Amino acid sequence: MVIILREIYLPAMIFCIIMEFELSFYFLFQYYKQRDEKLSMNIILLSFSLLFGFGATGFIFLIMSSYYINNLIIANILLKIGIFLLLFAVLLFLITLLSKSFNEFVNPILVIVISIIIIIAAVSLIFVDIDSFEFTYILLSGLIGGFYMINFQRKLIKLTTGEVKNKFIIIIAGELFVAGGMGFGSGLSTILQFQMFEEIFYLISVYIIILGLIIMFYGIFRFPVILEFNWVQNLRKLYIIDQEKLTELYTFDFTNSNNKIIVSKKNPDVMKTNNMSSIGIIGINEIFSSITNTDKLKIKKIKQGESFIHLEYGDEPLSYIIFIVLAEKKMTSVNFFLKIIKKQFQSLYKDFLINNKSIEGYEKELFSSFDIIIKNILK
Amino acid sequence: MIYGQIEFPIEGPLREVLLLLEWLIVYFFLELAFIFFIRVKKQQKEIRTLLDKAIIFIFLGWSSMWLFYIIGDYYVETRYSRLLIFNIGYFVRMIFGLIFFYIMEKYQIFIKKFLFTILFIIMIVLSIILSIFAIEYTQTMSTILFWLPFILFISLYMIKLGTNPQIKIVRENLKWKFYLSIIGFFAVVLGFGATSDPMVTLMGWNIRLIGDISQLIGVAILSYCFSSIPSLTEYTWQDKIDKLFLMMDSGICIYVKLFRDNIDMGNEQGITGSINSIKINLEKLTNKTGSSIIEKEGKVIIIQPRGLITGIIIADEYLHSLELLLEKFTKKVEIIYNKILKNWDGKLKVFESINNISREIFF
Repeated sequence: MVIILREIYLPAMIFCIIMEFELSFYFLFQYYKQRDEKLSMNIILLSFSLLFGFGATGFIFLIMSSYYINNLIIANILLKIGIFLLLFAVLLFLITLLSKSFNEFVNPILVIVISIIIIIAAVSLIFVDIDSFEFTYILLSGLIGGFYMINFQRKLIKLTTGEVKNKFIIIIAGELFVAGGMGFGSGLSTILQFQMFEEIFYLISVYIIILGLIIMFYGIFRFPVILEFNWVQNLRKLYIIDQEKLTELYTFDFTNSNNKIIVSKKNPDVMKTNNMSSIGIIGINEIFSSITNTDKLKIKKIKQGESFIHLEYGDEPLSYIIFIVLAEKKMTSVNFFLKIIKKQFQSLYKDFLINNKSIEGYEKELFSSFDIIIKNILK
Repeated sequence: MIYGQIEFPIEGPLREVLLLLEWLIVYFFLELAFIFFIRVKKQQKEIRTLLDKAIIFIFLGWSSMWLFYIIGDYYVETRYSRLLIFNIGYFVRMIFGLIFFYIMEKYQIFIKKFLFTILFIIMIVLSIILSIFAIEYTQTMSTILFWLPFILFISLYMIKLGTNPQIKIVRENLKWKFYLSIIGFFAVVLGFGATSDPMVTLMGWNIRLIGDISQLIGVAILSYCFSSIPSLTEYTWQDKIDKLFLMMDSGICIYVKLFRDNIDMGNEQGITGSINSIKINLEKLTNKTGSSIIEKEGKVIIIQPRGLITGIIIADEYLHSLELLLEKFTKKVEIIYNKILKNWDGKLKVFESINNISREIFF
């Protein structure tokens, strides 16, 4: 039995490329799915999509050049196009990091400097010969970009929490496997002077890469929405009000104490004042509508000094329920949070609110169980 | 080695293309198994995962079988070694197939309990006997031994799915996906047929190329359809459920729902009290808490305790789906009524609205 190793690792390499395209499309799909929420942090999904999409296209050219083209000149051109696309993929990723959302932990000057180095390297591909020593510098520029990307994700992990954090950890682990596999297959045999075992190195490396891609697949499966950093700290209060009965169905006080969200103890007098002020918002809505003749339109946001009041309205047949969140800063994540609250509250209590005769007198206790859901969302 | 007019191992201009496509079949089926595995892992407590769980093994079986086909067709010199390797492949496929049938039949009955699982065990025994005494016939016989029960089962499943009135109500847009999945299934089966030795002998290597492509297209269609086709277990429990109770830890019945008739039983407190004493006895006896299933021919009692309340289902037979639904139901009631249950004043009126939750979960 004669086994030609190329016949084993080449299909695996092509499968790797297909998997990278799948990852790219999946990231893009997740990005578009969440785009309507206008959450700026989700641009990271687009960054990954571009990185994998262009990276995979680059690899197609590299494989064509190495395994399917016999003409040396054409093979070299394809190799250069492949490397150009890989550099371009890293460059696109870095450019998206210049977005305002990452200002807190990305040094824009450093990103710009690395980007310029990559652009110079990409342009110099036209003039530099593949066998020349200068070609190593071109590859080195891509490596610098790669290291910065990994470092960026490391910071991202530190700043995020819960499921998003776990997902990023899995993704970065997958990336390290992919990078390790690529390094093992492409450089190690040459460095260690093991050219005779080159194909065995390829074979092992391609399966390391597949493992990395599988880990990444696991990481991005049902990727959650990425909310802005520290958005929870900006939340102050949540009110859920029955507009018809002019009663507060539910309230939640968000206070940040030792990084734990706790429900503040409710003083009856304070509760009464809060109740009055939250129901007062309905009055604002009515006055506004009558002045401006906009009965069918609803207030979505109110700015009061430095604070913001976000409003969301129940879906039919619960359109008389109004959801209000008081926040310190203007954040899209708060809006998104309010939408989740609405969805969860409606799904939990819809039937109770429609046929509510049997719960009369027990409303407060019944709705106060919603604390459990809120705490789960905030985890 | 020459088989008819075709020669093995496969050589010539199509070798690399065929090998590439067949490796891709191995990888894609493996990838699909992995995707379904993640789905199962992410939604462990959902009823439909039973179908997903079973499908994982079909994909794994197909992938590993093709791996043995590749070894046999491209790297083995003698006919006997090729047959031997194919037989290992068939055996692996049949083992995965057996797990598939077992999972599918564990929670629902097709004609008779575990009929297909038993049938498949017989087929496995037959194929082992055949591979020992007449290995040259195994290739042809594998068509009957594997495909016959498999196609029979799939057809039966599809008929049951298509004729279930509940599914028709719940999933109106299911029809075209149902037909599409049949196309996908046939693309895989016919594609596989096209790669067989008799077909290649008749029509040359090009038919194998078409067969490989057909399988890849089929797998893409199937993966799309399987992700949205409902599991029969999501619906079959309705014919089996009889009564549903909720009781406090003390045994006081706070909610009862009758699924068969609307005549008030009147003695629900007595029933929950008795079941509570059974529960306490079982816990003391085994020193273990958790759900209990008490089975008797034709009837089963499922007891699902949580922190504050206990859910009880009386049904005609045990179905895993009933246990999952009961867990979902008691969990939701406990979340909504958490504070009321902790400080309950003894009035039952407040629990009347649990009916809304049971309507939502038990249709």
